[in-house]
Amino acid sequence: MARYVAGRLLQALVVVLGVTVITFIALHVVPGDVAQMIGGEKATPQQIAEIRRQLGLDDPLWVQYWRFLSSAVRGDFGISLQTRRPAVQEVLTAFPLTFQLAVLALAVAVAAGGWLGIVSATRAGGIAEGAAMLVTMVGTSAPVFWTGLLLLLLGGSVLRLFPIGGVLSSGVELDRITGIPLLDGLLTGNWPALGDVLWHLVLPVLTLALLPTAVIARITRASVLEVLRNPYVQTARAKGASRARVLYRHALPNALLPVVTTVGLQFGTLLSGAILTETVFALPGLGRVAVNAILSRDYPVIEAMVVLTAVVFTVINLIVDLSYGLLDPRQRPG
Amino acid sequence: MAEELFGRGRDAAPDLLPRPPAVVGAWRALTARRRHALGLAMVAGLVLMALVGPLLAPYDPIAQQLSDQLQPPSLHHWLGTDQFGRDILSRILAGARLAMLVGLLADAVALCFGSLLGLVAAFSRSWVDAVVMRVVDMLLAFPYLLLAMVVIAILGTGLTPAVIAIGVVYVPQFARLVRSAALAVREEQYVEAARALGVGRTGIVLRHALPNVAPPAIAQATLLFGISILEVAGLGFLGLGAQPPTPEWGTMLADSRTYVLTAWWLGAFPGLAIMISVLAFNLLGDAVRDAFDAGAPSRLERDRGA
Amino acid sequence: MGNGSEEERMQPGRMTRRRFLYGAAGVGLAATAFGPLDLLLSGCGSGQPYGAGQGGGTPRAGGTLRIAIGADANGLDPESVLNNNAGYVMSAIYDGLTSYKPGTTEIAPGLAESWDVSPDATTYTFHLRKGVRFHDGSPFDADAVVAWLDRLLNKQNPHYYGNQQGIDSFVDFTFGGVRSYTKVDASTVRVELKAPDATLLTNLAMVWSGVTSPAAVDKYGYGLQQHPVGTGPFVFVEWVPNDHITLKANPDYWGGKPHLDQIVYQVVPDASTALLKLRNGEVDVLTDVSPEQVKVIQQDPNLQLLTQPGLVVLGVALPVDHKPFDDRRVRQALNYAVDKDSLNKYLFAGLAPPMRAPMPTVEWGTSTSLAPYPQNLEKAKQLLREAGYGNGLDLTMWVYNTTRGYNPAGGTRLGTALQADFQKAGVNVTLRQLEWTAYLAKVRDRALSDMALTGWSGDNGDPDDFLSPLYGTSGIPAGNQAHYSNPAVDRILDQARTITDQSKRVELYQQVQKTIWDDAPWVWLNSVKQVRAASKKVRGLLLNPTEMYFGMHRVWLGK
Repeated sequence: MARYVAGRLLQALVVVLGVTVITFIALHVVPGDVAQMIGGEKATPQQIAEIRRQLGLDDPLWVQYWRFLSSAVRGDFGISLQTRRPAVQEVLTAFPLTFQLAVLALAVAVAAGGWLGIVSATRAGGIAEGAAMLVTMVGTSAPVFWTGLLLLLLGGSVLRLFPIGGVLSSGVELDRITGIPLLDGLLTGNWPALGDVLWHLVLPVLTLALLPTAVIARITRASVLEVLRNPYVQTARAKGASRARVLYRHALPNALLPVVTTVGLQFGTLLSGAILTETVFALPGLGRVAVNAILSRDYPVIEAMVVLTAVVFTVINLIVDLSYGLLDPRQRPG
Repeated sequence: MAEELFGRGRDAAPDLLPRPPAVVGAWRALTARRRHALGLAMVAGLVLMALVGPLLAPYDPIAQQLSDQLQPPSLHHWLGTDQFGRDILSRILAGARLAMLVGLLADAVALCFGSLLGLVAAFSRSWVDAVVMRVVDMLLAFPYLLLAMVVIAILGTGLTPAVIAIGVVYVPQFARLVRSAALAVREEQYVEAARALGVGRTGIVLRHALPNVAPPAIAQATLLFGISILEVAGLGFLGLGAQPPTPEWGTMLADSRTYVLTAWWLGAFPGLAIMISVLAFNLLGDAVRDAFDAGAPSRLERDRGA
Repeated sequence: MGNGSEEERMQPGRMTRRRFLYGAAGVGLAATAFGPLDLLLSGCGSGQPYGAGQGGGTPRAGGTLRIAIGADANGLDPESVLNNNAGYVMSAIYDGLTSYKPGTTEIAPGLAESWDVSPDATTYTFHLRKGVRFHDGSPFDADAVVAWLDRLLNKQNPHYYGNQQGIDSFVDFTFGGVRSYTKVDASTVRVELKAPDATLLTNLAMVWSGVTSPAAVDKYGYGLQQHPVGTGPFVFVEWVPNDHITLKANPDYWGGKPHLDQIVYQVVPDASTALLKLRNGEVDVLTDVSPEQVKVIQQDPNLQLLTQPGLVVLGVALPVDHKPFDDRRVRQALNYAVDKDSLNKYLFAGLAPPMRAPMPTVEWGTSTSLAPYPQNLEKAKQLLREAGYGNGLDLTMWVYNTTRGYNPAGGTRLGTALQADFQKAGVNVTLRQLEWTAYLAKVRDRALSDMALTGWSGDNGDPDDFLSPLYGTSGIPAGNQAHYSNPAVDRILDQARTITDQSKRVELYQQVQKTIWDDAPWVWLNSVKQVRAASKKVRGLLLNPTEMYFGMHRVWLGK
């Protein structure tokens, strides 16, 4: 088992390293002069040459890569060309917000999707099944940035129940500790701010949760149905076990496995959806950093973002893989 | 995305070796379920709209008529006008044509490069296979949007770079799919026999692997058609895809943001168009896959109402 | 961060260079064609203030003004940052030795009440305002000014500004010609220049030349970036990164006690959200207004649109040292081919009037009597015939694929519109589109031989800031992409740069502009206005051509 873990860790490392190589090469062989970008429109040719010299842009590519890598492992990705702050800071400031959104949406999706899946599996026909059907069809085909706008219109304007975007209302103060507003609110005991944060999160979370809810509902339903057909379960029922007991003792634990797998697979999609949702609700997360960095060719920030995301993802995949192995003994490698 | 829904995650493999059905069988299989027939009909409708729609459009999709700005849906403009007085219905129709091209091109990129990669991995030495699959893993380690953004950082913004970006994003999925199918073939006895008879690797690939790889690949490509429309629209929404005044549905949604509270029709219809397109190809993709899998219903198919 | 390799890797701050000030920051994405709108306050030329609440009323004391800005400032040390968003905040915190007359780029007294300039424009003696204190209580006097200059010019100074990483600065631009700075008495400072330069006074009025408190520098060192201390109408209170910066009124401000209690600069990067906040009353002023938002703002009875002719120019550079641009008739023909009113209407939403001189209308000294080049296809064709191109001309034009502050419609769209106009005059233009930095490399090259889209935005509001870089020989090839070289023009520009008598300078610039205009090294297009939006409650807010929030002590909130 330990060998397996070590092997996976090594693979993960190689994957992340490979990502840095690809990103670095891609961004450095494109048309587009970084020195010119920094110098600005009015820089003279001499000034631009000076910038190139200072940044070592005339060194061979592998030398530049080595410099990049050795700084990167120390968390130094250079300075953002746009804001002149450390690139890693730009990414780390924004990431927690996106993470918060993704995790909350996932939680809602697991709860809602799981419930929907179970209900539609155990009551064949009727409203529940129809609802599940509807959620599934809409959830998997409606663009998240469209449903977000619709929810914004509905909740923010027609019903006027929710704010139209942002993290906090003007005038509400919240100290920043972890960068995750909910956590910070809890940690500082700032209940009014916490409430305000949650209020601002309702619409974005609902928007983002729609797709994963649909997926999880579907998988849960299929899983539960599968398990319910199992002869062992039929036997238990015949012996007089109540439906609920059968459900909770037997069906659910087995149905859990595919859901866990799905959750692991969903995280990438979730993060992508979070970026789009953030744009609709003007949340200052990774989405904004990413789009601005690409439009202004802010290479340090793009590199920082790519590498950090790769690291996070590799870690998550690793955890999912290992927990999968733990959950299902059959799957564990010999 | 939808492929998870139907049991095909980005790292999925086909269940069995399906046999390509005959044409009549195909039609029957495709329309077996009501929903699948619906999917086929919807896609046909979309294709028709893409081919003929722009010719029937009442107005020029990019001509401005500023005296008619921001008109709600009416008899003159069935879907209303936007902030430049452009007829939204005409733009939606023009966008349909773009959407079909988007799906086609993204599919082409993903299918070609993905299949190539997958076949190479399946029929090469083990270390080549390992390297290729590690690269595929790397790409799969990523949120698709960030990956697409990196490609756009390289190629620049615009509709074509966005389409290529999304195509690239799905290369790993096809690579895995094709590789699995090809590997399965490689182990078959008739392939061993063919090898013994001296048939070269290329021959084996062409004669035996491809027919086996084709069905799941086609099914996946159908699903991907709709998804790529959705994802390219997402890039357009962020401002990284099609640029104004191109009537791409995602870009139209981006434009509609300023008016979300005052002119709801600007954003409602493009989004609806995207949703209908994706749904159509999801249903059709489901139908195609079911048709090919007619021999062995998968787990998910056994429940009714699926 | 901050270790040795970081120093080596990136120190653009050591470079002092001019930086392009964006007109509409951060939005740029959906620059599209707009249509004619009802026009707003129209520009009249220099000397006219443009602003909110001209309807008057008695100023009410109190209230917090919330200004939406498109991105966070990246530092609040005026000599070390060139970020517009930082400038918006710093213009309320700091004063310069000189200042701009409200709403213009003409020079007025600032922290220096008056000054004497030697006839050869090399020695400036500043008579400082008495009784002024920095926000931290330390006195503003000659010692303070000398200490301030020392930090900028003396490399041995322990807090030498240039030792910071990742800064951008105008110090070279403003003070590069300074030879010495000395205290004459408690309220007099003498500055000597290496060479005569009349633009020093204008440069001192820029927000990037704000006077910082030496006591604060001693206390915070480079932390001054986060703890700004100046003499301005508002005092720094707090900066919550990526969220807001709060300032409170300086009751002892030498220019008069501010009416407002507080100013909050709210960071709202998303343009649509910012507009929604303005309409909801969550913010009072919108700094960046994209042209497509203009209509919505105009239709809202609670909002007002503030505009001012911009300190920007836009055109097509015609390299005069290559055929066929060496023939003046061809250059003039190209000017007569373009319908600039149409461009204004369809590409710029009516917010970019055609240029009437080689400099922007809001620039002092700009010519108002030059014969314009309205679209006249007959004349264009005739000129081309005379020049020997009666059978048509095939040309290439380079454009960039993004938007710029001086071109919110974007290079591609503008290029396409121009192509259509040139076609009507019998000139076939092939557009070649380049990514921004590749475009810069292409057009700022001595070897450029094709037409290229070009533009410029002013930094200090001095005519020399436009004329020399764009049309002077010294500006070739970076700013002067047309490679225009006229010794008579150069002579006059050099001369005007060294005369301190403004009316004389104006005379000289009038002469020079006529020559340049007739020679037509550019196809001159449109000059985009500066546009802001505010709630109707906001009064006394005047726009400044340099786009900074000067004079905030005069702003008040009505009902």
